[in-house]
Amino acid sequence: MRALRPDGMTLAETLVSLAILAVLGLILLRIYNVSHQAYGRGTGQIALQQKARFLMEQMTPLLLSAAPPHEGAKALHSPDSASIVFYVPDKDFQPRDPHYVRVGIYHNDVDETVWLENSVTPYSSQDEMFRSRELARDIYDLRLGLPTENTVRVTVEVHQKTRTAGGGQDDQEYLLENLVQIPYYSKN
Amino acid sequence: MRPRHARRGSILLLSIFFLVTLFFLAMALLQLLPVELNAARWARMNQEASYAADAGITDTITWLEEVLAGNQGRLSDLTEDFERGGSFGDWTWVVKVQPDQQTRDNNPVRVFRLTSVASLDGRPHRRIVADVRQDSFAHYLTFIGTSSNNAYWRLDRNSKLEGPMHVNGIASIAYDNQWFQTGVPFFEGTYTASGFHVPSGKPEGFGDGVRYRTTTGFDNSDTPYNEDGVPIPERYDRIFTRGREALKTGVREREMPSTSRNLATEAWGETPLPLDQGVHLDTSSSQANKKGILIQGDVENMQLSVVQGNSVMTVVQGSGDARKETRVTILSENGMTLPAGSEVNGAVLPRDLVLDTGNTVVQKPDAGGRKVFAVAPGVTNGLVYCTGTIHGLQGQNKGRRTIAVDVENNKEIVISGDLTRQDTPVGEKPAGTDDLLGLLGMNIRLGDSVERNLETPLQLYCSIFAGRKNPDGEYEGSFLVDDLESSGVGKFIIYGSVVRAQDSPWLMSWVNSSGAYVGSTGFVANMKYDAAAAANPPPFFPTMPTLRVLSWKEEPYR
Repeated sequence: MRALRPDGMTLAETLVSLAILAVLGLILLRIYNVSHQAYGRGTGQIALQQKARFLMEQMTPLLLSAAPPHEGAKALHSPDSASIVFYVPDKDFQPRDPHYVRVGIYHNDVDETVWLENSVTPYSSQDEMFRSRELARDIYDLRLGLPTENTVRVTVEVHQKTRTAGGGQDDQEYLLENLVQIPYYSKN
Repeated sequence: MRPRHARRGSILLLSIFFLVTLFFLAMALLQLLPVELNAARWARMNQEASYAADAGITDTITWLEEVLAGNQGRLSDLTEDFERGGSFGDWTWVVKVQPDQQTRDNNPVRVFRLTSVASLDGRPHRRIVADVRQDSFAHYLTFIGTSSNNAYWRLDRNSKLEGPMHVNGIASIAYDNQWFQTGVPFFEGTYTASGFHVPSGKPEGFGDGVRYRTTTGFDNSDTPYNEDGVPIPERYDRIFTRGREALKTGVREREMPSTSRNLATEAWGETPLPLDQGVHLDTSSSQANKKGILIQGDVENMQLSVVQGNSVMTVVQGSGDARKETRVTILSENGMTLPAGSEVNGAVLPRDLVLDTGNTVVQKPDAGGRKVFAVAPGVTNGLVYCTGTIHGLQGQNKGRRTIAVDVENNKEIVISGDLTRQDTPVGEKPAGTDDLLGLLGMNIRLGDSVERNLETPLQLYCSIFAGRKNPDGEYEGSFLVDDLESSGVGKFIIYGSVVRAQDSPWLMSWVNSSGAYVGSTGFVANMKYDAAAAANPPPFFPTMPTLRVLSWKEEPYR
């Protein structure tokens, strides 16, 4: 009589294969978690970059338009590291009778917003009035410096919470720094 | 043995599991990569496009300056729209040059709008729009064609220079030895000088290029820089409102023109000037607003005034029996009626002639008991050109006007009283540019008839251009005080700009043989900057072949 050979696996085989599968599963789960986290961090980073670049793209053309309001004056002033004041041509600019308006960009660190303030009337007129609008929000920090008379260093810092592999939260940040050279000074 | 087909399921499951995992990983990568690549590509393209558009503007400004300097092209080509093109690497740029209306009308201060578009493979990406304006000498509060070794600008605690100053040559500044402790900034604008002074015994390029003098002597340690030549900011802050950066030495020399003959052409046209003494006006309608007023011969007195809202200029030539008085009226506010029987443009009027605004009327000396008029359509181009010397000028100016004499033949203008303007109360700073007066001559003199009284200063609302650079390269002519050394001290206040070939004193301080101060003669000067006139100077006030960027707008363009 032929000895019976069972069709199924032995307990040992089953346990070993289960263990291997469990280890493989754990490794794959880990890989999945890491990749998921990396994906989350990556998309978060993209969102942060977009936020910072959006602000930078809004500020740069304004800064490039800076010009002194009159002979002997400076085009740019930085009262503190979170704000900058400069002058741009008036809406109805006439080169034979040039008028400039005052523009201020400043960061409010309480509600993490960036504001643009511009005078409605030309600079130096008696009834100077200002108008403000929000330029960007969720900006953790904005630093503005004047390393030289014709250059503005703009540093935008944005933060965001992301989920970690362990289910916790990680503080993600992105720093964008740019040097804007004011054409007025290089051309005149 | 277990059949093979019974073992296939687990491999399939494992494969699917790995496939799904790899799929997610790949998806994450695929999503990240293009965003990053796109961002980098756009940033690079924007930068390149910006450089290309900028190259177009720079190239066009340089070309325009060459044309303005007379080195290339024709000025008359600059009165119509045109385009220039070029390339920058793989990029191309096209700049559209648009002169403003006054430039089209041949105003010597030219203004252009430059629109530069940068394209790649024919697709536009970025645009820069810039307004540029030609520089005028009126831009300077004070300009000196050549610096004298003995002439220093003495810093004074009671006055300031509110606008830019330029010297062809060495900048020289004098101050007392307490200035760096108690002085207040004297120069509110920039101070540029083409020369560079090196203190004796120091190497080339040492210091800031200025020759300093204090009450203790020359080239001593009482300078705004230390013994190593390193600037001391707090000292510069006591000289310049903007500190060290307001001072620029070794800059390009700004040349004054050698002749004013081109102004004769602007006033009278290409045809030969009339030879008979008097005031001449082209009466043909085709020349309305294109020409000015030509005065042949010396003028004894020129009185500016405003009558019934119209600008009037009364010109007296000759004296005694040869005295001739001519009255020029610009009908800008009110019309005028010329009586019947008068001679107008060579014909006798059968009846009264009513003239509307927008005409210019010259009433010449009566001839044969008949009033004689020349009437021209338009209000002239603002230029009054005199071939002789104007021995007396005073009054109230209305409108934009430049009075010029022949500098090549050493003709002068003598100021004999206040020169005020209709749009500004006397003593106040001008706010507009409706009424501007420019004076141009070899010498502009403060005549000896001007009262010297410190309490009632002479009020001068005008921009002065005195002197020239002659063909030998020497500067001659200035803004002078007649009889400087005769007794009396007065004061003049000028709202505008003083451009002069040579520096000259307006005030003399006298000391006795023991060195004690015994008094002064001449005029104390108080110069006020008229920023509006600097930007929009009087017509035909001399210009420079340089352009200044006034506005700059850069934006994506698709």
